Amino acid sequence: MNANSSPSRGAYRIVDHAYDVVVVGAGGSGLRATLGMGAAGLKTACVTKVFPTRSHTVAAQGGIGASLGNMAEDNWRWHMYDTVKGSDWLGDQDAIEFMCREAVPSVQELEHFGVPFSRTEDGRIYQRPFGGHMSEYGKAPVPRACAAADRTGHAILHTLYQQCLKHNVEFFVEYFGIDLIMDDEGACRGVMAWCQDDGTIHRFNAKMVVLATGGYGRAYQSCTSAHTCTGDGNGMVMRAGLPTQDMEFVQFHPTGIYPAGCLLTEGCRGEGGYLTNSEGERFMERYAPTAKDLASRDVVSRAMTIEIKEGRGCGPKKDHIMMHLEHLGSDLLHERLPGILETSRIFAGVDVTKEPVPVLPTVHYNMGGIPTNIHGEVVRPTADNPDAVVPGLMAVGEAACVSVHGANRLGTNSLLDLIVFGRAAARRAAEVVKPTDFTRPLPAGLVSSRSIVWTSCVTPRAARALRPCVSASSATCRRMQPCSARRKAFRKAWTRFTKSGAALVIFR
Amino acid sequence: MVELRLPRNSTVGTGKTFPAPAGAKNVKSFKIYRWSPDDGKNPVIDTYELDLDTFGPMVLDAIIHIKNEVDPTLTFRRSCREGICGSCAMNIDGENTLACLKPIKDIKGDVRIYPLPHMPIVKDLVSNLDGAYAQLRSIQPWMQADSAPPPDGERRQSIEERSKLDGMWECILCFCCTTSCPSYWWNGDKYLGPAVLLAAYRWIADSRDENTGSRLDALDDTFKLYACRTIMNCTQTCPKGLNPAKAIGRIKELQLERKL
Ligand SMILES: Cc1cc2nc3c(=O)[nH]c(=O)nc-3n(C[C@H](O)[C@H](O)[C@H](O)COP(=O)(O)OP(=O)(O)OC[C@H]3O[C@@H](n4cnc5c(N)ncnc54)[C@H](O)[C@@H]3O)c2cc1C
Ligand code: SF4
Ligand code: SF4
Ligand code: FES
Repeated sequence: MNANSSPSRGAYRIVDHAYDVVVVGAGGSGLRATLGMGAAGLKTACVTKVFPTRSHTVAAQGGIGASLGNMAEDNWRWHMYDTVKGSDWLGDQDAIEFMCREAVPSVQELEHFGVPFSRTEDGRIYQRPFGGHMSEYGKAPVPRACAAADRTGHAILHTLYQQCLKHNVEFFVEYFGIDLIMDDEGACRGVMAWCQDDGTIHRFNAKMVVLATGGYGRAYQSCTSAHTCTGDGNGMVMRAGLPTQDMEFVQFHPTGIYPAGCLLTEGCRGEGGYLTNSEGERFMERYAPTAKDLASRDVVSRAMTIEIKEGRGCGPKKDHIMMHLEHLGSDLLHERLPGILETSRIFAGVDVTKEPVPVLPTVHYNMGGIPTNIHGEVVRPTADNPDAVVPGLMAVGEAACVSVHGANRLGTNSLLDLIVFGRAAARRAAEVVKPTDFTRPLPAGLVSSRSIVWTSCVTPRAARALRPCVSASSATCRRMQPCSARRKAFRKAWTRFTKSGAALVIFR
Repeated sequence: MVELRLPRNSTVGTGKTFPAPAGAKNVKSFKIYRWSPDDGKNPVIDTYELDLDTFGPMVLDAIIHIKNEVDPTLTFRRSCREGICGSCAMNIDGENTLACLKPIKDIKGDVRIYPLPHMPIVKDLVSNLDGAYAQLRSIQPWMQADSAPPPDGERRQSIEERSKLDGMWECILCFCCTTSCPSYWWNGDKYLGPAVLLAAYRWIADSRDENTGSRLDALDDTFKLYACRTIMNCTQTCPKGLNPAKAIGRIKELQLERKL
């Protein structure tokens, strides 16, 4: 590992590296990009703060969307229609078209890589219905989520890691990406990272940096995402003076376990599960007569919130909703939703083959992020060119915002986003990065960073101070008044944070 | 499980005690292995007296509480907090398991927490798994097939063929099993260990993979495979309820069948 490194001088030991491409992040998007770039002959490194298979993609349960039509007639146009509609008409329709068309070959390629998808009677990839996925432009639910039991993300992530091993990708594992290296012309020239094992600082000179750092669910106090989903890539671009997009579009998943926050996949409702309030009523029939419990996530989450606000919540505090699976029978649950049985037992003490499980809408996904075009290139609009790209910088996955999800992501479209745009980014990098090009040395004084001190000691404290105000003010229903209160609370926490000894460290 | 030993040259001393906050009613002691590469000292056991009413039900909740509120120097891995990423594998109450799935109430008396046994330590509860990862790479754990897949569809696999992978593809690479295996403690440089053999069998059992023969050839080795003495610690400890010992048994059977 760590080829081509040479130590340099200074108080911190700095190790220099040079690559064609450095991918920061080894979740589904980062690994798919890394894999494609390595296969295209680019000298590629993947820098990640956790071992690749520990990335949050491992948590994705229900499936990856593609109109394979294995179980019922399907069409990419219907998938596109659902995605545009599901996004509250705020998604980028060209990008959505691209994603839904590319979905089919991308998922087939995953199968060829070895993903252990569940199977149909005739040996094809098994597909299940999922919220918001309909046939014939919104008529009736269609099975479109390609699934490996209820551990689809695990299956995909492990397979991608295996493919990276096959292609001899170079990994820098447990290296923490700190800041982008930007030059005076506004191009990205590399990235700084911190080796968590020995504390050395690593300076990666790269012709292309790809941010694949995942979402920022942990800005909230309770969320379905892992502890590592702290929006580091979003922070890096903001500190580099680049814009982010749609950061307020945060998805609440209807069925986080109450109160632990762990997710119970929408596949539960896809397989026939349903929600009830304290009166035992299947209230979704009132809010969404056609799709019922399989309406899109924002609709179900808002309905649940209203039920609770109007006093029909379950439990002594009337603060949650019940999800029923027991009528599906033990055999089906064991075959299709084994992970759900396990999670419910451990985190709610509930045997879902016998009784309902308490759930609550929980922060789940960040639609917003680093704006990119459909090739993964980061966009920085200028007065005369709304599509101007930042040379040397790409972003993929939940950290990015190609804007295929608009204001609300359909279930299964995130795994799809990772794979389709990870693949597209690799294709584009192969076009714009020339391995034969000389690696330009980084100008002196370019790489200052105060972030390391913040990262190591101040951020955890600041985050704990900020989380409650984020949770209290930016929830399922956006309202102006808590927002301005939040601004005040933020300012106070921020002032405390910057005064608490965050020094400036400069690397030369 | 058999008695665990710590690496040689590491007599463990008694460390600091962090008393419970005043007024705490529901107190339990957590005795945690501490070692830092920076000070040249032997490892110690620090004692943290914690008020169980102030954090969640799992052991992971307790150590996060320590890091956030009591002693920020305590170092450990964690990410998903729901038993699927494999980060938080450690030795708790004498057993290798995932801290995020281990309820504190299941432990009688003090909670003793050590890193995974017999692996080099990076710091505190963080063990160095590079050797195990390299062994994983050595068995070429990726799909191998010479015949090209259909250009516009998936490879077919029947439900029955697919079910042969159940109990293997779910492995989260936490290495609880490998680090509980006495054969691995003694011959970890040569014996592949249960997690990696499980991964090897996952590909041998996959109807889509065409290199079963060369996979079996590569494993036909006194140490790589046959150092397994069927002690079963691995299966007993797996926090995901998988059965690596059975997979190893299957590989041995297949080797035997080939030779007959
Ligand atoms: C419980 C749950 C279930 C889900 N189920 C589904 C589903 O069924 N279908 C679906 O389509 N989507 C699902 N999603 C959403 C989907 O899983 C995520 O959006 C997606 O996995 C994000 O992938 P990613 O590659 O962008 O990032 P991640 O998988 O989060 O990976 C981020 C990577 O970046 C690295 N990283 C982060 N910061 C740094 C840094 N500073 N330095 C170095 N490395 C860094 C991390 O180590 C990690 O490797 C689910 C999400 C959750 C929470
Ligand atoms: S069965 Fe084999 S692998 Fe498992 S613990 Fe025993 S010797 Fe180790
Ligand atoms: S078999 Fe079980 S104990 Fe072993 S690595 Fe896999 S999940 Fe962990
Ligand atoms: S934190 Fe992921 S397995 Fe425990």
